[in-house]
Amino acid sequence: MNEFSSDFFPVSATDEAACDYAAASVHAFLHGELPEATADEIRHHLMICESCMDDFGIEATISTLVQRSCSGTPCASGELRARIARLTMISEQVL
Amino acid sequence: MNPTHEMSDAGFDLTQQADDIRDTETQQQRIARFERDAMVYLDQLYGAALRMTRNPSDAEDIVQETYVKAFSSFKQFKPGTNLKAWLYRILTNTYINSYRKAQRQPQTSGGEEVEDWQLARAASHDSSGLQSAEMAALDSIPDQAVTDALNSLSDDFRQAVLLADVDGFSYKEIAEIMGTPIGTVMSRLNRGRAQLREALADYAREHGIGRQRDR
Repeated sequence: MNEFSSDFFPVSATDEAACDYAAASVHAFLHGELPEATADEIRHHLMICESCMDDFGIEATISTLVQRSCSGTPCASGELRARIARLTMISEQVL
Repeated sequence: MNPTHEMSDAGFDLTQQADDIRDTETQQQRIARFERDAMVYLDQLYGAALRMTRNPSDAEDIVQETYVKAFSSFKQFKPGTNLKAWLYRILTNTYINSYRKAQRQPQTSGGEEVEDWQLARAASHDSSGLQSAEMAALDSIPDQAVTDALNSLSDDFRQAVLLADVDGFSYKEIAEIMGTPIGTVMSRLNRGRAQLREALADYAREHGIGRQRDR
């Protein structure tokens, strides 16, 4: 993915720009979308920046909350399943 | 990284397999293949449809329409590519075209002029109200409050968040499903999650979640 190239990360992990960069890539990082080298730079920054570490922790928790809130989604009813199966069977005759 | 998916125009694939099952199978076999491969996603699609429409009867309608469309264009689907993402794309299009249009829901994305990094920065340092001391207490926010917060997002933002966090699609897959560039997916995710975080922070504040109880 060219939106994140490893050489885009600020040289100094202590730089304020490093916090901005980490914050801007928190979701790509947590979703495993960053190239490994970039993810390593972020991990390195998190080790030395408590506020970013806290921030990443909050975002990871919010992901868990979203998953939890959607985990009880009901299954499709047997009636819907049967209706769709019937439709493909009818199409079978028509096609 | 995921393999290349041919979403709509199969055939433009330089690494094409020598034998495509579609060339040799009978109509009967294709129908059987559809039933075997596509029906296993019914529950997941229904769940996604329910989150889109928030209404079981509308969800059933768009899932049924999705399967009808998928079935009639199954010949265009390239075997061995991402069937789940292909079905989600049809579902998303069906929702946008038949349901969302009918609702005439105003599509307010909001704050387009704000840069992503500004948003991220605002969220990360102090201003959004969720401090690390409150982080541990986030877990005690009830599911309904999280659902309400999700529902307060604009449709595109909510979809991006759900596809990434709940359905577990890669950004590339979400781009294919939503029919947008990956940069747009990332922008919707960042903005959607920033708004979600804001809404959850508001909830936590209003309900005294995470506040020190030492007084």
